[in-house]
Amino acid sequence: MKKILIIEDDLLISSLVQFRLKKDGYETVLVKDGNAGISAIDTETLDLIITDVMIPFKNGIEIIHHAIKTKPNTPIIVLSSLGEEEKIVLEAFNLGVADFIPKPFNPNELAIRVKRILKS
Amino acid sequence: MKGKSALILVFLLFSMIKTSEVFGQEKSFLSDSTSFVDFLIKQGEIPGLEFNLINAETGIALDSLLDPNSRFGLFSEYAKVLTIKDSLFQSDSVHAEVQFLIYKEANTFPASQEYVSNLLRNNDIEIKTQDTLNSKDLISLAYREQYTPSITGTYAYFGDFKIFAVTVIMSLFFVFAFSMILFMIIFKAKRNRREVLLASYDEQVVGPLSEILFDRSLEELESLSDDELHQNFPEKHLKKQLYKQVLVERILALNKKMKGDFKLKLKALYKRLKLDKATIEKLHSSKWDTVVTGLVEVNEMDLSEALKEVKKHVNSPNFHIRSQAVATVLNLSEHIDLSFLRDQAFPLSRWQQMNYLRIIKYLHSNRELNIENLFDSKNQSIRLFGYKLVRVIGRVDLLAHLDTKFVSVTDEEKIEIIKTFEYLAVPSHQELINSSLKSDNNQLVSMAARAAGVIGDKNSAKLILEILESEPGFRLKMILLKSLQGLDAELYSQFVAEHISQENQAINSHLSDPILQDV
Amino acid sequence: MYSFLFYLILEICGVIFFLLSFSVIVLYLLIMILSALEMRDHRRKNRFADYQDIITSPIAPGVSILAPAYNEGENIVQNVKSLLSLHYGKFEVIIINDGSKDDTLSKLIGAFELEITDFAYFEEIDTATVRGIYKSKNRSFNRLVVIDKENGGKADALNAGINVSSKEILACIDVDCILSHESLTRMVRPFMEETNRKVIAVGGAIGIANNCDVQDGTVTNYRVPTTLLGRFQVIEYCRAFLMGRMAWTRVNGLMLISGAFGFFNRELVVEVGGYFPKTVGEDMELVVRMRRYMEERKIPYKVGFVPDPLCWTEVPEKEEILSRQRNRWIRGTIETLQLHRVTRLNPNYGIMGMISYPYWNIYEKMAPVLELLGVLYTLVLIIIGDFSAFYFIALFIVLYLLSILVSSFSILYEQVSYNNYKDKKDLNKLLLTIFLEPMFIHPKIVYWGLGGHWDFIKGKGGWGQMIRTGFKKSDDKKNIEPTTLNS
Repeated sequence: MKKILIIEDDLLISSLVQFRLKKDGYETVLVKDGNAGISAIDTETLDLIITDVMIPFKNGIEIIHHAIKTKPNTPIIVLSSLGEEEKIVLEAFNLGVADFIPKPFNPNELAIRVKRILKS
Repeated sequence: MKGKSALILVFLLFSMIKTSEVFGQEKSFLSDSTSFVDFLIKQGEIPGLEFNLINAETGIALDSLLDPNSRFGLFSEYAKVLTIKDSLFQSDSVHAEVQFLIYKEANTFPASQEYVSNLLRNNDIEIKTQDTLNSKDLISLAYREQYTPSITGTYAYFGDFKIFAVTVIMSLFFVFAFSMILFMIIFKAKRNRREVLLASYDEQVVGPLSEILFDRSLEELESLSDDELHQNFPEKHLKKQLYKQVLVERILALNKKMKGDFKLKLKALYKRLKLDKATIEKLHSSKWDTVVTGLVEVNEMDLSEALKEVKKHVNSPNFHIRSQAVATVLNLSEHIDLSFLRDQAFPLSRWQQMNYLRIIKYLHSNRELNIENLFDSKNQSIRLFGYKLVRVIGRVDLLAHLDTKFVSVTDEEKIEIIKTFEYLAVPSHQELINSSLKSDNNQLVSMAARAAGVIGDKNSAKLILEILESEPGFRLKMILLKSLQGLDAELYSQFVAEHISQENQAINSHLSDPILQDV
Repeated sequence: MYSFLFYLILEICGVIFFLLSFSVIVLYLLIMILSALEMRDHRRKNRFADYQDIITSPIAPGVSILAPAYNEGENIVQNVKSLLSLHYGKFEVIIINDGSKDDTLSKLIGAFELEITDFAYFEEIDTATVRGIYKSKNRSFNRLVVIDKENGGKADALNAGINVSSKEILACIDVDCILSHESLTRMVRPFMEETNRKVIAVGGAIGIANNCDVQDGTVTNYRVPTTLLGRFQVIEYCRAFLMGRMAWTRVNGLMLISGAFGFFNRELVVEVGGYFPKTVGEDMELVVRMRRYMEERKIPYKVGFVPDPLCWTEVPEKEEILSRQRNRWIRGTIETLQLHRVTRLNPNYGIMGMISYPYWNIYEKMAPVLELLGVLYTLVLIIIGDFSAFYFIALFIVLYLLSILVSSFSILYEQVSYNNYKDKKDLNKLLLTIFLEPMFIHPKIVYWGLGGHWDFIKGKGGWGQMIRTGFKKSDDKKNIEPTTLNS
């Protein structure tokens, strides 16, 4: 079973994403802030990370940095309410994230993208 | 504790009222000679009654020789007579006797006694001292007393300011303190209960909500039977205001973050749960925050049937209602231009502009908004907003329109229009910038100078040089030089080379420092 | 004859002290009610505000953050990093190195790849000499500007920052303050909201970070400080920010915005001549001067206040440091009131002249003196055996109860509005502090306040002349010769 880390401070969104991904048979780990995210990246064996860029305590970029450095083979999906043209998002792209999904989003679409990324 | 303080207060009040002295007498007061003599001694002067001293042996009046103070040799006070009589006896061994005179006529002791008794009975004289009062018989004394109000308005505690102040302060303090503490305790308890309930409802709602959204199609949701609905959202809960509120908040939050068919599903569910009825009711509330909540719900859930109600609030005197109503109308109306905004009387704050701008930015591509309507508003803040709109959503086609308006508007608006020209950077309409460079208004000149750097022409460069020659202030000079640098590098370096001053050097180095560019 | 005069004076004093105590009680109750109303409105408004929007909107004003640093080498890099990571669109961070004797500047240069620039520094407001203005080669730090200047004090450093700043709003902060990510959006909002009044300044509440968990610029876990003195300050800050300032905002009479976290309209600050470096109460003095400016020109204006917890600071828990702070505060108050005494009870200055100024004069500036006199008076009454001493003792008890009432309410406000101190044990500790404070800490505060008065009388600071003449008009500050200013 594939394991996915979700870093998102909005409980509603994360529970919805979790619900949707569980339906597809993935295992999920849910954390609410940047520090918990970093420690989850360090301790868990993960197949995918879904993260927001604006979360409490740590800038999303820092998390992406950390993930790419320590787990270069784990793909990252960025979920954000910021537009694609925002500086911070561009920066994330430059760091080499697998995908970017702007909020508002469709959980089904997210599920499809997750499936595609995990297959490749 | 409240009762206790009241008790103390009452006690204080009582102890502060001085009971007025009560005067009076017994009927049988002067029945014997001793008490009469006592009375005479204490009373002093009694109208009509006088005393004389006569030699007991000779019966001759001792007269004024003895007392130069009594002009007629008569005494009006019995006590004095007695002392003189005693002193006479001691010094001269003269036996004197007191003679009683009523209205200057010698009388007997019993007659005088009768006379004084009469005076007392008719209340013609007042008893001077109270020592002789029989204190055991206050009621009869009171009965004898002529009426005078015993409380004359002078409470003792008015007299003693400090006690008065302390009492007022204390009572005020206690009343306020207790009512406020009570209020706060009730408030906090209510709130705590509410929070616990909210949290528990929240947990109950999230599960069924995600389930129903993923498992049902839109059609299924719309035709959901009551039974099925109540399986997820129990009927008894749905009657509770707080539960409904949680549900509404959750659906609204989801709607904001979701896209595509999820939005439709959420709206279908919202209507299926009959939450829209409650929303429309909120619009009629007298509390502004309830109305705004209702407006937000209408807006988020696209309840276009409520649009008529919403429009009533567009000119509300309440800032929050007004802003939200305008935002909702903008969002929901199929066919609406900005003319309703043009007719608003209230000035537009930046906060409102920001909100409207976000919506208009999103709408303008697929809706005929007629932004140019705003230019004709009677309200300056709305005209300014119109110019900003042109800039932010990039309506280059409206620039010509702005150009024709330019001559007739105030300087403040001119600045905003030039800003728009500069931002859109269409190299035309230089005349309007060049004419502004000649203005007396410093702010307008600096705005025009800035714009000239982007869209100016040869004439602008010439004008800028002219202003530079007239030694403008530092800030303006910097803008001018920067614009000149952008317009005509050759002219710029020529100017700097010809005008060597510390200030010019500083600005020149600043403008050519690569780190300081694009700040 | 003499004894008659003596008793007459006693009698008059008695009446005055009674009136004072009475007014204190009425005022505090009023403040409690006004602040509760303001808090309710504030929270209602907050419900409908979308702060995300301000971050990106082109309509939102730009913010220049000004942070003077003096010997801050130890934490400066971390502090600047957290300032740079604030969530906001248009802002710049200006750090002013006020002639530090430590490695503040070199640490900044190293950490942020700074280089000296040819910035054309223009002294709109006179300041001590600026040695250089630094910016980073690295584009990711392009919001940062560092000014290196000769030491001239906090106000002078801020003035240099104002000269360099380019944005519409100035955020003057202490560099060691912890700012919430949302702080800029929330503080900017009042500037954007008014329709027909000009918002000249907005103050923010300050929280106490001692003993709290801080992670990446946010307080994550609140705990009360370990010492009584620290806990007392928690209560005091709640009282000041959630009650006092809220109540004053309600009547638009706010005269003080904390120097550690205050936002100002730049144009107006420059117009009135910036901070006045000759007073230790520069934060209050600036607000008063700006208010005067608006009153003198009859422009409708507002001084706003945001009670949300957005800024935290470590407060001194050692007596000697706290005593110096209090001494300075009271001197700042005296000096500001002296400088602007023209406004006292002057109807031309509206609420500020008629209400705020007299209030500050009696209940803030004179409070320590009056309290001392009150105690002395009671002692005299007891010694001469006057019966009214009894009432005075009763009055003291009432005032003690009032202090407890007010303090508990301010904590209650905190609980109802933000509920940051969640631990029951912490709350109990705070409650205990509330009971102990009037007996064990308040006398010290009064004593330190008296020290401030004494130092003012002695002329500490050595520039008594300016204060004695005062500002006849709000823009007088600009006309002071720079030579006398920087001497």
